[in-house]
Amino acid sequence: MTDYINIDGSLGEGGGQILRSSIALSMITGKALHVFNIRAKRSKPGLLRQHLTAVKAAIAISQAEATGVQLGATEFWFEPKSIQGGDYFFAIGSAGSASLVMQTILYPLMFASVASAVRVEGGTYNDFAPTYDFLQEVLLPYLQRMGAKITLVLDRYGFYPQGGGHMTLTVEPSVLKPIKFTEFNGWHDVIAESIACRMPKETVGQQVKALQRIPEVTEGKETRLPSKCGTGNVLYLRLKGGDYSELLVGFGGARVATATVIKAVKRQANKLLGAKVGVGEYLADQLLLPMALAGSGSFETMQPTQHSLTNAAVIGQLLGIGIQFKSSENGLCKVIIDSG
Amino acid sequence: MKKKIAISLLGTTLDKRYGQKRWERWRPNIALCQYDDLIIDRLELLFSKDFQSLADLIKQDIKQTSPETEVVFHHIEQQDPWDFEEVYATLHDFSKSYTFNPEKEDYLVHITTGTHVAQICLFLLTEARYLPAQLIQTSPPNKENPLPGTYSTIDLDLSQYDLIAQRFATEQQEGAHFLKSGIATKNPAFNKLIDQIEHVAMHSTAPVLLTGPTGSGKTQLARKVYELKKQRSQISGEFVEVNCATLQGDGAMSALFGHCKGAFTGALSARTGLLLRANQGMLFLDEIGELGLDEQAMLLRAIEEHRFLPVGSDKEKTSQFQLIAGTNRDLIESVKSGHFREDLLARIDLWTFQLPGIKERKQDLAPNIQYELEQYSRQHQHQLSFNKQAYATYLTFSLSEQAIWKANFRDLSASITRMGTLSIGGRIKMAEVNDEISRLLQRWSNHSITPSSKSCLTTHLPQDQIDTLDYIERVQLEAVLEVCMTAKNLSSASRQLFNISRTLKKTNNDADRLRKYLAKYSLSWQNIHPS
Repeated sequence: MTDYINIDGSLGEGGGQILRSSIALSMITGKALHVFNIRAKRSKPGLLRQHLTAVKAAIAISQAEATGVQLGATEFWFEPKSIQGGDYFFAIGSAGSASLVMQTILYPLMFASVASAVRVEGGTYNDFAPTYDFLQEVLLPYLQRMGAKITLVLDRYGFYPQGGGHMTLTVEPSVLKPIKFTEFNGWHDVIAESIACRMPKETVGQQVKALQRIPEVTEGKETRLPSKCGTGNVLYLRLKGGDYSELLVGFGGARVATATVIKAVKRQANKLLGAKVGVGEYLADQLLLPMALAGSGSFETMQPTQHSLTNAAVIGQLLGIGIQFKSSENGLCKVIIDSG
Repeated sequence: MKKKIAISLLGTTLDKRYGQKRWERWRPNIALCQYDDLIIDRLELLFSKDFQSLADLIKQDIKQTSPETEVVFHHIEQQDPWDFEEVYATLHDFSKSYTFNPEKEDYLVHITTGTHVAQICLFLLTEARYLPAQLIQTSPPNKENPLPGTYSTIDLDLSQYDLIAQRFATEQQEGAHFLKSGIATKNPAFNKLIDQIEHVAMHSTAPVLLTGPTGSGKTQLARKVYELKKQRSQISGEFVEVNCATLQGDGAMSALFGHCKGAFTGALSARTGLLLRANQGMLFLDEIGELGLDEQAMLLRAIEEHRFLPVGSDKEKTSQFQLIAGTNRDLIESVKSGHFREDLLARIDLWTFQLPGIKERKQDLAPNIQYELEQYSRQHQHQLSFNKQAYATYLTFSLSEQAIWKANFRDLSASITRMGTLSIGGRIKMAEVNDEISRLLQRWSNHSITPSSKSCLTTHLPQDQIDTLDYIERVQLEAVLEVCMTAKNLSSASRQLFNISRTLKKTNNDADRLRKYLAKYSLSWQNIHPS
């Protein structure tokens, strides 16, 4: 009988992150997985379309035997075999986030014996998911510094609801090594950028101007995409300083008030700039898995969210590794990953 | 997991959006394939050839937003999407030609696109299981629910639909209750009979034959059926009733079918006839067994073809009416003896309901006594009731073997009317009940339906006119004549007869009321007091 590692999907915020982390680690460790109470606290519980695509992609890549994987399922069993590199194509329905699928299969593919090229079709800018730019500009450079041989190419943008975005991820077999963070000495480049397609010119200008009122902002940029990308808009605040980089996002669009978008970015900016720290809460969450795979490491960030704590618990459980969150006096928190 | 297959009409209005802006608009068939908790594995898209390019665009956009969905085209011929018959036939043909595989696939019928007519047809086909599917309704986005908006599914097989079905059941019960004049009858056989009549009356326009002994309530039931059908807008015309026993001789044809001016000697003006008056309404032919053979032949044609020839006319008239016939005769016997046409009987006894007499439904006596008291109270505008002991005595008697209720509910009604008239202050006491019991026993022992004081009526009216009168009418007329014969003059008689109602009126013209009452029977004060 197979020994399944049981993961309670309702832990913490009970979102898709637990699902993605646990599946990725199940593939890597070869341990069979039983996830239950999936998204139990949400209004639409169970696997939604984008989760289903991610699980199916994982099944394809690890030749897993799975039971109960279907739309709306609140539990399923997942038994991975070996991870197969190679060429893959996944299409995500309903313009769901392409990056969520990427997140699930990115790390396992590093453990394959051959190189892989994965083309994912879907949305490149979705609420509640990392944008293409975040992956490209923030996460990937960190991973590359850890030794990951990966590249990401954007073929086409895709805004919700029409989607139609294309991204291609190439992954070569690689081993992640611990990363050494230097001391954070503040941001030297802080760029406000509004990326928009088929949005009024005034809206875009208004967004950039609003962010430029933040004293730390050094530059403003307006980027207009060709009309065929659909209707959509993201407002970015890009930050760079030493080894550190961050990207704060606000999602706009035809039905979203400009003020709402600006407010969302400003709120994040105030928090990050006020904390004087190089790793924001969202990035911290994303770094837990690769650093745990590397075996050890530490970085300074803000007080962890419930989301991060849950994610850390799941990673710790599957890898048998300790992840500690140590609060310091200045309201910050040191994350220490230690295999010992 | 079973595959999900959606069957949907291309929305020639809502789906018809072009240019980049189309992505900002709600297109039902695109939305259908975009929900994050529903994956349509195959979309069967129905449209007429004229909309091929729109269908192509929809297919392309679905491919982009829902790579899981295969779109299959079905060309349907549609001249007029608002023509119910055509649309139903087209969709019915589709359902017949489509191979359903319910073992492996679940079907959803999308009812958001298409004309209202198409939506109704899809509903009907799904309800009839021609389309073994659930219904799915997609709704446009709003503030809380951005694109693609929301959807809801309806399974007509499930409990949700039972609630609606229950409402129909309630309505049916209300209908039955109405047919019983609101009397809470307890006899199970009678209640079942009424349920059946309600069902037949509401679902059919075929003739109905009510049989049963005299006074079992045929006329009243026919009128109630008419009122119920009218309430439910199934019928718009009048309720026309006639006792065929009164249609004797030459006048019968013309009374039923009308005549044109000059059709015969004395036909000074045209006459509409009862059948034409009942057009779009209901014709109640009581004692249909009494109808002459010529009239039967004409009536049969009128039932079958809705056409008939008025007397003396060479132009046919048409009339659509629902027929209810009543009889207390055994019509099969009448057919055997040659008094009734076999083909007419075959035509009218498709739905035959035998109304039981009082003796077969004794449980219903108490509620009917109550009903009669209420009726009397309403007609006379003052409350009529029994005292406790009087009621117990009357009820015990009415249930006893002695009480044969020869004319059934007609006897009961007359009995209550008499007690009500004789009671003081609307209170029926022991004295009135005891008198009434002996009066009833006296009547029933006579073994004749004709009132005892035959002489009183026969001295003033010809026998054939008396024969057309209902028992209740005879009883009343008899009482009126008795008063008139003893009274000094018209005014004095009318004071006695309208003793209660006259006190309620501002001006009293009781003499005129009595004069008019007598005139109805072609009688006058002079007839009664020839001196």
